[in-house]
Amino acid sequence: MSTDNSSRSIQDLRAGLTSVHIWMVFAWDDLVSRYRRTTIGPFWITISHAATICGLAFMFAKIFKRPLDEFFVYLAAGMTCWNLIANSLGEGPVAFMRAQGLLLSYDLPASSHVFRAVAGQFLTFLHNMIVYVAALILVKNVANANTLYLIPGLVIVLTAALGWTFTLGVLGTRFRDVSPAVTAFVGVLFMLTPIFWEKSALGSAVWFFNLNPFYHLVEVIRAPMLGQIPTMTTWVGSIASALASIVIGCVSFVVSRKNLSYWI
Amino acid sequence: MALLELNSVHVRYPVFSAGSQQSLFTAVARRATFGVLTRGGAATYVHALRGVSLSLRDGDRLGIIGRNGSGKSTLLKTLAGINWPQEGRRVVQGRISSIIALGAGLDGEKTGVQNINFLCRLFDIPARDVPALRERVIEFAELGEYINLPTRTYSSGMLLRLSYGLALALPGEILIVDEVIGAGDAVFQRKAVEHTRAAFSTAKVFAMATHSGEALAEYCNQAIWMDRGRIVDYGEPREVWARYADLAPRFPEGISAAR
Repeated sequence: MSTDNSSRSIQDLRAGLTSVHIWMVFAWDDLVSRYRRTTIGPFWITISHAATICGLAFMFAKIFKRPLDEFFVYLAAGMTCWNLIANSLGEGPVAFMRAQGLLLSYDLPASSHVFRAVAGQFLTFLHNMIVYVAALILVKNVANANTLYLIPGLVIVLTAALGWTFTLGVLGTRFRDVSPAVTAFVGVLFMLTPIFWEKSALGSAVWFFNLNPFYHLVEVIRAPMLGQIPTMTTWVGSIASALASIVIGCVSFVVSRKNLSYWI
Repeated sequence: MALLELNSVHVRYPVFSAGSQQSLFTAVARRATFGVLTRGGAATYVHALRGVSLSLRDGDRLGIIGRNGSGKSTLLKTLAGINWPQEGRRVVQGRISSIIALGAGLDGEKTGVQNINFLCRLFDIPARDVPALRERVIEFAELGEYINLPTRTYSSGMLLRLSYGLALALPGEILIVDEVIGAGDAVFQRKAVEHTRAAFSTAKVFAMATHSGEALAEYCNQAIWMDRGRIVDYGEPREVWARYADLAPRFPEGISAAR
């Protein structure tokens, strides 16, 4: 196996993608070790998620004068989707940084830390889904056959997440201010994306959402969760975003892989 | 057959001395203003390896000597595939097992046993081989009850025994060891020699950095002397060590500067 840097980077990417066992071991370990000294472990994620949704639902149903049951389910779906995207953006810049010890000790594929991060976000998403499912059972069932569109929707969102985790991971290793910048950006994005408010509240300003790739990424999984089929604009917008993200991500990684150990 | 080759390899470390060198905003501002708006300057580089070539094959056991900062550790990290050379080529055939930094790659929150299990899964050791491997590491490390405590409670000697036990037990045709073995006590030293020699039956290629002429003679069958990122001498371990011990103290600026 002879190597020069760019083919070695591509080799790293391929090895990372195919060593599913490695990143599943990592992702599970991350989840468990975060809560190692607690009794209910990762279900703290679920509890804090439920608490946020309850709080927001009671307040904003009143403010927007919406029926509580409908708004509750809307939020349970929306916040679950948003958390997946926002947490993944926030984790991106530290994806390689927190694997410092391993990256500087073993010649294991560095890309596995990106797959690990996204797999971990997916596991967290599954924990948060419990709140959504509980809302369906206890508050109002809106799920139907259209909910199956959640599966292609998740494929799209996770692809986009892989892409930006690669890009942000590389940038965050080289530049230490990327992580706080992303945190600030995600905070603003939460306000600008219809999660805790509804799109209809903005009336004719629809063009504004159509330019926001994160709106499409939320909507491509939220619509199915609310029993709707995503619109064509959302399919196109989310798929285009995911493709752009993964292409930029892979290029950033292949170009920068050789420098990772020096930057970290 | 195991093979490890470097071909005129150069390694330069960027050194970020000012905080602004690690700021994306500063970098963007500098680009956008064509360098008018600069603070802190660009990163400086340490040229740690300057055109190093070497070739290791089955049975080669290389010792690397040289003064502090001569490039020994960089060379080992490059051989191990952790540093990627900016110029030159690295060719490797065979799995590498390495111990580069003390306790690196161990999770301080996990116990010794949990760390062993975790690394076994990372390196995809078949489940049926894990118990035997774990026993070997535990037997080598002699940590007693500590093996069930988080590794953050370990002394550096204990970390060394665990890391070295792992490096010896994990499968690999190529074994790469930084000068860390020197940190152990006398009992460990004896045991390390014994077990490392035993590992030579499976590890076909071995490379280590050392500051000890005895260790060099004990473990290695060839030696290189690194000086300022270059190989300045190569040959039979005792002979290289003799020349090094003779010349190095007389040229504090480095032998390559003197020549």
